[in-house]
Amino acid sequence: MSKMIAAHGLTKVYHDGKRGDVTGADSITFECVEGEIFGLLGPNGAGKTTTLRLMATILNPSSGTVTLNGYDVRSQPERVRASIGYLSGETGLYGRLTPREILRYFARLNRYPDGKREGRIEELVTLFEMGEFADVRCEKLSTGMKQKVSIARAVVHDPPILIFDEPTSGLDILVADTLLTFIEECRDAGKCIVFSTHIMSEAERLCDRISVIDHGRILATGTLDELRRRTGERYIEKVFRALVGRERHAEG
Amino acid sequence: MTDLLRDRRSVIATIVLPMLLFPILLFGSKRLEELRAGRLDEETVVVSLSGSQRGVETLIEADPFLERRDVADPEKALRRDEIQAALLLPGALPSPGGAAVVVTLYYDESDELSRLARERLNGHLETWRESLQAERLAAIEAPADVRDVLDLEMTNIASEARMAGGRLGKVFPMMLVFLLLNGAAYAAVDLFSGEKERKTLETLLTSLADRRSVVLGKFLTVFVVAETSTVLFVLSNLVSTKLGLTGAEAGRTTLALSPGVALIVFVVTLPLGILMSAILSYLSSCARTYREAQTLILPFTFGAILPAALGTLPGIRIDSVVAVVPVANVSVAVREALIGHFPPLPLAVVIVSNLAYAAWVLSRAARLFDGEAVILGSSSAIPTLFRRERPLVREAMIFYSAELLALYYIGSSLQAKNLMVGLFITLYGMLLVPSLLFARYHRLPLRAAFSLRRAPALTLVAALLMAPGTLLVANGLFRLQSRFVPVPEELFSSMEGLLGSSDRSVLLTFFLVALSPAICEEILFRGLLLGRLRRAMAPWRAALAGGLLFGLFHLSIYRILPTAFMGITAGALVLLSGSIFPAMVLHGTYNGMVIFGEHFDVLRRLDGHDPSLIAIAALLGIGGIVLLLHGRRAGNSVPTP
Repeated sequence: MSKMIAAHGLTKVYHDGKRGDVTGADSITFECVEGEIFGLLGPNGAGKTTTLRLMATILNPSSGTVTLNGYDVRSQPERVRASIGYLSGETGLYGRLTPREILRYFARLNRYPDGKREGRIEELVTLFEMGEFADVRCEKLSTGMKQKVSIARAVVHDPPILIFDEPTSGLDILVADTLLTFIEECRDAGKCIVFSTHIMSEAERLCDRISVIDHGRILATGTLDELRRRTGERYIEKVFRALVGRERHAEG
Repeated sequence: MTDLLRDRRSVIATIVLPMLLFPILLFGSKRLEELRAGRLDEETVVVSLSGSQRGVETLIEADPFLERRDVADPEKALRRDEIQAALLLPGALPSPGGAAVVVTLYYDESDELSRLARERLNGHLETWRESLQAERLAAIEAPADVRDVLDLEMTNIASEARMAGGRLGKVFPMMLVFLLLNGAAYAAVDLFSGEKERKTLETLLTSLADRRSVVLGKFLTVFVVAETSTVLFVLSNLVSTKLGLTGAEAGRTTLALSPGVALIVFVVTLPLGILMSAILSYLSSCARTYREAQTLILPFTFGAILPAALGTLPGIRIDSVVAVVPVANVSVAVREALIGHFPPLPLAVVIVSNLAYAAWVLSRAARLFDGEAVILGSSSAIPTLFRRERPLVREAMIFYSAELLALYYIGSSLQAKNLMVGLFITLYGMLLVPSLLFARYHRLPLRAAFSLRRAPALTLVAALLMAPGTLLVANGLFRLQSRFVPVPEELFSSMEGLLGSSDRSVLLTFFLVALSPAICEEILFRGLLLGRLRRAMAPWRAALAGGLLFGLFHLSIYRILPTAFMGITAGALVLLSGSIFPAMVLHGTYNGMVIFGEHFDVLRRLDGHDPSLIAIAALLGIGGIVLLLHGRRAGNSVPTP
């Protein structure tokens, strides 16, 4: 299986007037392959979003490297962006456009072949059951509808890598389930998926491998079973608590 | 673009407003005209006389607001704006009792100054007529026909179109600039800060489109919107002309544009549109939210409308200096175009200079997007000064503002009561003592806070040598500025009151106007404020900002530029030498020379562009700079603050 993502010593330092230098990501190192769901698990402010933003070329790393689909974020950011579909709480929708228009716009921005475009859009509209509201302005849609549009937007150009930053936050169980099912289907289609969450059950259901992250550092990486063995805990919550607690305890 | 088009507010701003504006403009122009009359009263106009009539010549030469410059071909000179009116007098008077004296007055109805010249000449001719009449009555006993001793022919050289253009030129350029700004501002705020606020920017940036094309695309949209609103404005004028809405009722000629002029206006405004769009794009990409963008844009809008308004003042012609002043250049160019005046070279300068400014701003904006600050919305993206929270900069700024208010409310009234005592209290009681208290309160080490370090002797000499050059440049700036903002006579008289030595000794004047400011003002500005600013920004920026604050402190728009220049030079001296004393020497010498000049009337000679004076000052200045750099190296005890 070919390696899709490789991060080595990825570090991001923010300069903040009040707090001085803040390290958002500290020597993050991991790899992912095709057909794998890789989970970043951590509490709020742990550095998950920073790591994903670095991968999406929205932020520039202070040091370290990360390559996606073989392209380095620093030297070939456009190639990287062409290879990924990125979705986070910060990726909003144009309120005055309809879902179809948004999909069309992003398909064009991402240079998706013109001839296949409309077909792809209809495929996504059907897949996410957006038929009823595909021509209504986005500002009038509910949170769940918007999230469906956002996901469709992220994958409209059919990228080999998907980066989802807490995609289920704020969704009801049904929509969340649709989404998780979609992610599983993507894995089965051979895509490489990086997925951050602080919801343990999602991680348990989806992730092939998990990195537990806190204070910008990866505390442990492995399959859930490996992590269980390492901590001697049965439930994922306990595993997580053991890892994070151990670290915090060591610091204190 | 589609997203923006669906925003009703943007639509109103760019389409409806320009259409409504024109009718409003028609009613508003009268009011503006009244406002401007005030300024006109003080203008000096140039007139040409041909033929010779002692009576008229004396009257005209006695009028302080008329300047006589005789030309061979008055009509041509009038068209070229070399003169504002011409009077054709007969060589000799016809015999008493004979025919009336024929006098012809040439003027240009489309030019306010020319109309002014006409009015003034007319007044003098009236006086002359009366004296002629009296003369004739005395010369002949028999009551001849004495009512028509003078036959005045008025010749207006301006065509109807030119006259209409002249009237339109008073308000049209300002409206144009305003619309441009208004349209561009809506689009810019929506596309840059709005996308940030609605969180669509990050979505956009994860797409394949690279950041430069995102900036460029957004900028182009802003530009198209801005231009659309001006084009619609001009079109609405053309259409309402066709429909006869701007018709010539009540004896007024139409306020219509000809298609040709409209085209010229469009071409000249185009680069300004690019510039405005670039600046607004830049400003709003600095902001994180709508509201922040609006607070950033508002002062800029005022700053841009002002030069546009200045450009519509009568008497400002397009020349090499005006042509490079952004906004004002377009405003003047449009006004000139409206009266059918298209000087090709200045127009080219206007277009090229605006394009150059726009390119610079746009490259800055693109760099901003390259950085990640746009996403993070961190304060580092926002132009410095007030945002950074480095040691005590904010406190120092508050202190400065308090000083400014105190000066405005207390200082000036004290000085109005008794100039010398007031000056003494202001300088020592309101500048020096509070500055020291500020440092004490914040427990700043005095030596470091005020740069009270021993200066290398050479730098002191250098400061002395640089003073004349500084004064000359400041004086030049003053005159440049007075082209746009004419200096009222009162300022000169109040300056004379300050400097004049009629009722007190020169020594006292030197003490209060040269020595004391050199100490007190320097302690506050180059000591305290510069020291604080230096901790927040690069040295050259600190010197610049400190100088501007100093210029502002003189509470007079006429003196901002010259005093700011003095302040910047003094600031540079402090930063280069590490000591405040060279700045004190410069300031003292500078003010001293002004007093000296006023006292011995040297200033008048300085005004005459004397090349040898300029050369001496320049030589001294260069010598000063060399010494300064040398002294700095030799002194080598320069701890940067």
